[in-house]
Amino acid sequence: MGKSFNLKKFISNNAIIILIVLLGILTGFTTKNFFTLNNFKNLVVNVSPRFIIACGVSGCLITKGTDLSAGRAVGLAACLSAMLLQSLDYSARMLPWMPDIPWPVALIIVMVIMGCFGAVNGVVISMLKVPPFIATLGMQTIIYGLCSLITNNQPMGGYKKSYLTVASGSLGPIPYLMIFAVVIGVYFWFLYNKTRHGKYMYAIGGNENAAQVAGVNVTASLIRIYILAGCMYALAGFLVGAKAGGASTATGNGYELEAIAACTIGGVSANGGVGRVGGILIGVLVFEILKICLQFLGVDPAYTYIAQGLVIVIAVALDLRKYLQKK
Amino acid sequence: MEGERKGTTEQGAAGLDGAIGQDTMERQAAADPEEDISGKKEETGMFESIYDRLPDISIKSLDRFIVLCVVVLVMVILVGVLKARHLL
Repeated sequence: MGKSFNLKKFISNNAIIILIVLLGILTGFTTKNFFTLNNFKNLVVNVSPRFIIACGVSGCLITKGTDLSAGRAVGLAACLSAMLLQSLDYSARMLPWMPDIPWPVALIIVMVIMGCFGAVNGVVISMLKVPPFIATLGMQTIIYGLCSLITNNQPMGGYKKSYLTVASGSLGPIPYLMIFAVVIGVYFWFLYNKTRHGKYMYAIGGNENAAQVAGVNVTASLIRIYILAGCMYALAGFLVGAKAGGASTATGNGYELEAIAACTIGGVSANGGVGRVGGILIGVLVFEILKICLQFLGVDPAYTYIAQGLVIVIAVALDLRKYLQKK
Repeated sequence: MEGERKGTTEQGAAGLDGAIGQDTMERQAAADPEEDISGKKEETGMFESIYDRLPDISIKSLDRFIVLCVVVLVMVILVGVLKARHLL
C-alpha cells in the first residue's frame, strides 16, 4: 500500500517555497521581462556566490554550531582579492610592489588566508569549548577590524580584466559564476553523502557525545568543517569582488544572516544533524527570488528587508515545529 | 505456569513492599531531577540546543504564530506593491 499524500503536512513543510513560487508567478504575469533569459541569468549570477557561502555555513549548522563571521569573512576575502588583482597601471594600487599574478594563484592565496581564520574558529570552538555563537561573533568583529586596517577604510577598484571576466564571462550560455557554484554544489553533495567526513558531521550534529564514544574525532572534524567554511567564504568573496568590480569594508555585510536563513529554509535544522545540499540551493533561491520579485514589482527596498526578516522567522518557526512534532 | 506464578509473586512482593518502597521512591524522585539538571548542563552549553531551552510551546500556538507571520508577510508585500503603484 502506498503512502497517502498528506496535503497539510506538505504545505506546512514547504510553506515558504509555495509562497515564493506564487509570488514569482504573480510577478511574471503582472510585469514585463520577468520570465526572460536575461533575468534568469541575473538570478543565477546573484545566487551563485550566496550558495557557496551557504554551503560553507551549512557544515557549522549541521554540527549544531553557527558562523556569524561569514559575511565579514567574505568582505575580507573580496578586499584581499582586490589587493592582489588590481591592474598594474592603476594609479591607486594598494600593493604597488605586487607583481602581476594569475587570478587562480590569488584565489589560492585568499583561500589559504581565510582557511586560517576558519581554523582559528574551529580550534576555539572545539578545543576551548567556546560556544560557536560567541566565538564567531568575536571573529566577525576581529575580521572587520583587520579589513579596516588593511584597506585604510578606502574602497578598492581598478581590477585586471582577467579577474573581472571571472564574474562577467560565460562558457556559451552558462556564466562562469554558475560553473563555480555547480562544482561546489557537486563537491559538497559528494562530501556530505559519500565520505567519512560527511558521516562524522551528521553524527556530531545528531549527538556529539555518542559520536565521540563511537570513535569520531570530534575536535578534528569540527576544525575541518570551519576551515572548509573559511575556504568557501574566500571563494565567495573572490567572486563577489569580481562581480561588483570593487570591494570595501562594507562588502559582505549581513551575508551570514542570509546564508543561515537560506540553510534553515532549505531544511538545515538549527538543532543539528539534518541538512541536504539540494535544500540549501532551494533556500538560497527562495531568498533571491523574493528579492528579485519585489524589485520587479517596484517595491521600496525597506519593505524587502521586512519581508526577508519575516521569511527568516517563518523558516525558524517551521523548523521548530518539525522538532516539536518529532519530540 | 511458572511465568504466572512469577507474575503473582512479583505482584505480591510489590504490594508488600509498596509502603516500604514508597519512601525509597520518593527519595529517588527527589534525587533524579538534580541528576537530570546536572546532566542537561553537561550536555548543553550556552546557545547550544536552542530549541531545548525554549519554554514549553504547544504545536497549536506555534501554528497560530506561523499563520500570523505569513499573513503579515503577505500584507507587507501587498502594501509595498500598492505604494509602488501609488495606490496607497
